[in-house]
Amino acid sequence: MSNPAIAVEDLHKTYGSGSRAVVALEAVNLAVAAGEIYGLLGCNGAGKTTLVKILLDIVRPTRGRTTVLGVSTRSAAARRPVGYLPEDHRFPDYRSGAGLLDYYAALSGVNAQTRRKRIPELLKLTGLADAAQRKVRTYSKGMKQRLGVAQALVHEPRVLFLDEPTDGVDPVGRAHIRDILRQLKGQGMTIFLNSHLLSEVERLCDRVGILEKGKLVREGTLEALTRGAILFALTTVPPLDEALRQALLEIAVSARQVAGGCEVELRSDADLDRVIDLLRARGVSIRSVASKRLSLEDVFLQAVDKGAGGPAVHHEAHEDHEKGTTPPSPSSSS
Amino acid sequence: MRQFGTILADSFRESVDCKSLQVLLVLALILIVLCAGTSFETEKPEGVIEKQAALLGVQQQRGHRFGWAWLGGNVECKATDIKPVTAQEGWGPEFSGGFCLTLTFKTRDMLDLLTRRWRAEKALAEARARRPGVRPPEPPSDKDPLTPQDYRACLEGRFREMGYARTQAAFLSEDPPAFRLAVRTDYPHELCGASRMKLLYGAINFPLLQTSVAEMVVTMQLFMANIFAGGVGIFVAILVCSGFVPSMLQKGTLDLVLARPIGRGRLLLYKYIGGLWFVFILSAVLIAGCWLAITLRTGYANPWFLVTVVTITATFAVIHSVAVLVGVLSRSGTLAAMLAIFVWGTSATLLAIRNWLRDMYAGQMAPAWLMNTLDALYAIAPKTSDLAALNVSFLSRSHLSEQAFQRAFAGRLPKIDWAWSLSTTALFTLAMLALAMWCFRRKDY
Ligand SMILES: Nc1ncnc2c1ncn2[C@@H]1O[C@H](COP(=O)(O)OP(=O)(O)O)[C@@H](O)[C@H]1O
Ligand SMILES: [Mg+2]
Repeated sequence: MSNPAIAVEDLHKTYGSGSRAVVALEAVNLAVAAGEIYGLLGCNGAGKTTLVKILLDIVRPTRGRTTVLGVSTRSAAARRPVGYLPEDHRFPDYRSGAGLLDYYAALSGVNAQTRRKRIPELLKLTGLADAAQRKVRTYSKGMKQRLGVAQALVHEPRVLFLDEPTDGVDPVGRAHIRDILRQLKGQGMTIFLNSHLLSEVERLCDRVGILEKGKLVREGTLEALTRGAILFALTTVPPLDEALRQALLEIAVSARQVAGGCEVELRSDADLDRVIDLLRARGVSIRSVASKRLSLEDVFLQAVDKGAGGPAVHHEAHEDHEKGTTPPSPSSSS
Repeated sequence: MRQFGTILADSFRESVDCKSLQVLLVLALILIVLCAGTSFETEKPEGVIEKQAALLGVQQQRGHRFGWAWLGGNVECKATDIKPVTAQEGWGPEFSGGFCLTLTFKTRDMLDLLTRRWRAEKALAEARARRPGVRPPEPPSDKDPLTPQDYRACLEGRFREMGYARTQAAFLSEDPPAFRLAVRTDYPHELCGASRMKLLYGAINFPLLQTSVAEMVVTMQLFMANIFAGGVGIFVAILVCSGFVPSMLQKGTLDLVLARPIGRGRLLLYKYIGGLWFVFILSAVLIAGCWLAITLRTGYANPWFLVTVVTITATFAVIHSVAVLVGVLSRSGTLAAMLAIFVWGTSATLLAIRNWLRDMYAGQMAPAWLMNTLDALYAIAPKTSDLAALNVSFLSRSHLSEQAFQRAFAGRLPKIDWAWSLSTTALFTLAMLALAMWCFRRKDY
C-alpha cells in the first residue's frame, strides 16, 4: 500500500512492568488503505482495544510507529480527522443528546455555524432526532450506542475507529448501525472495526486481521482468508468409521467425520476422484458431494488454535450465527 | 480558544447539574440582601462624647489580635459641659469645629489606675514595634509617682484612640480630679461610638460602642471576603470542583474526550481553569453585589473591595491545584476534596502557629530548631491565610486613615514578607499543576 490511511509498524505494548507486566501487543504490523473497512477480530483480551487506543494516543506504545493519514499519532493534530467510538463508553449524563454532540464537535474544533447544520443531520441519520433534547441519562443502551456513532462522526472525520460498535445492541439496532457504516463507506470513509462478533465482520469488512494474544496471526481479504483450502462434504451410507478415515488420509490433507458423512480437505480437485474411488471400493454408498468453502469462523478458530495452543474461544463468537439475514453462507453447498 | 470556552462552559454545566451553582448563588443573594439591609445612623456629637467618657476605662485592647483588656477596672468618670469649641475658651485654631468638655473622675485612684494601665500598654506597644528580639518590658510599677503631665498625656491619648485627631487636656481641679478637654476629629466616620448600626432594614438597631462606622464597614467587607467567600464559599467550591477532573477521568468518559484533537496538558489546564472560573463568577457576584449594596446604603464606596475577588480566586486556585493533582492520581472526587481541604487546613494552622510564635515572642521563646522547622515548612506550604491577611491589609489601609488603621487592624496583621509569601505560594500551585499534568500525560487510559 503506497499511502495507507492507517499504518502500524512493529508495534509493541506492555502494560505495567516487572512481575505484573502484561504483554498486550507484540510486533504488530498492519496497514489499512483509504476507503477500506478493516475488521480486527480477536477474543476478549487479545489486544484489539489496546491497538485502537494506541492509534488514538490514549495508550502509549512501548515501541513502534503508528500513523493515521500520514501523521504520527503522538501528535494531537493526528486526531483531527479521526472519529472514535470507544467500547463501553459513558456519556456525561447532565447533557442532552444534541448538547453532547455540540460539546464534542466544539472540542474537535468545529465552528458554531457548521455545528448547527451538522448536528440535526447526524441526529436524523442515527434516528435520534426525536430524543435530541432529552437528557442522555434517559437514553436506552441502543440509543446511547447510536449517539456514540453520531459523536464519532460529528466533526466529519475521514477515518473512523469503532470498538465493538454493536456489542449489546439488539439485531435491529445492529442492522441500523451496519447500514450507517455502509453508507459511510460509500462516502469514502476509512473504517477500522474491532469486533469479536464474526458475522459482523463478515458482513462489512473488506479486509480482516485476526489478533491472538497480542499477535496478528492472520490477515487478508475475506476472499483470501476463506479460500485457502479445497474442502468437500460427502454424504455417505454408512457414515465414516475410523479405519476408513485412516485410509482417506492417504489421499486427503484432513478428513473428519460429520453427521451423515465426512468432510475432506484435498490438495487438488483431481483428488476428489480418488476419494470417491476409494469409498466405492470399500462398499460405501455416496449420496451427495458438495464443494465447501471455509467459513470465517473456521479460519478464526484455526488461527486462534495455532496461535495459542487452544485457548477457550468465547461463545459470543458463535452466538451470532442463528440471527439476522443470510451472509455469504459459510456452510451451505455450492 | 474554542476548546477552552467549551471546557469552561462544560464545567459550568456540570456544576449547574448538581445544583451547587444555584445553591451558592442563592446564598450570595441572601448576603447581598443582608448588606443592603444594613445602614448606619450618626448620633449627636454631644451624646457621643458622653458615651465615650463613660467608656473611657473600658477599652478593647485594640490593634492586637489577642483580645480584650480592661484598662481601668471600674473607672467612673463623666463628661459635662459639652460645647462646640469657641474662641473665648482659648483653644487653638486647630480645634475649631471640635468640642470641649469637662471630665470629672469619681476618685483620684481611678484616674491613677487609668493612667498607669495606659502607660503600661504604651510601653508594650513600643516594645512590640521594636521587634524582633525584644521581650515585653516589665510593666511600670504601681508605686511610680504620676505627674499632671502623665494624666494629660493619658487622657489625650485615650481620646485620640477613639478617633479624634487632635486632643488637648487642661487640669481643672484636684479633688475630685477634673480636666477640661478639647477634641476634634478629621474623619467623623472613624469616631468610635459615634453611630448606631441598623441590621435587617432597622429591625435590629444597636449602638456601636468601641468601633467606628469606617471600621465596621471594613469588618463587614472582610467578613464577606475572608469568612464567607474565602472560607465557606471556597469550602463548598472545593467539594464541587474536585469532582470535575475525576468525572472527566471516568472509564468510558475519558476516551471520548481524549480522542479529540486536544493535548492532555491543555485539557487538564482548562479543567483546572474551569474550577477557577466557577469561583471567580460566584465571588464576583457576591462581592460586586455586596459592594453595590454597601455603597448605595452607606455611601462607603471602596473600590478595593472589588479586588478581593482576585484574592479569593487566587486562594481557590492554590487549593484547587491540590484537588486536581489528587484527582488525576486517584480518580476520586471525594479523596481529592478531602486532601485539598486537609492541605488547606494544615497549612493555615501551620501559618498561624508560625506567625504567632514569631510575633508574640519575636521567635525568641521557642527553641531554634522549632522555629527553623516552622520556617522551612512555611517556605513550602501554600500560604492561603496570608492571602486573607492581604485582604485585611489592603481593605483597611485603603479605607481608613493611618491612625485608624494602626488602631484597629495593624495588630491583626502578622509581619509578612509579601514577595516571599506570594511567590512561594505561586510556586506551590505551579508545582502541583505541573505534577498533575506530568502524571496525566504519561498515563495509559
Ligand atoms: N490499562 C491496562 N493496564 C493493564 N493491563 C491492561 C490495560 N488495558 C488492557 N490491559 C490488558 O491488555 C490485554 C489486552 O486488552 P484489550 O486491548 O482490552 O483486549 P480486547 O480489546 O481485545 O478485549 C488484556 O490482557 C488486558 O487485561
Ligand atoms: Mg476490547
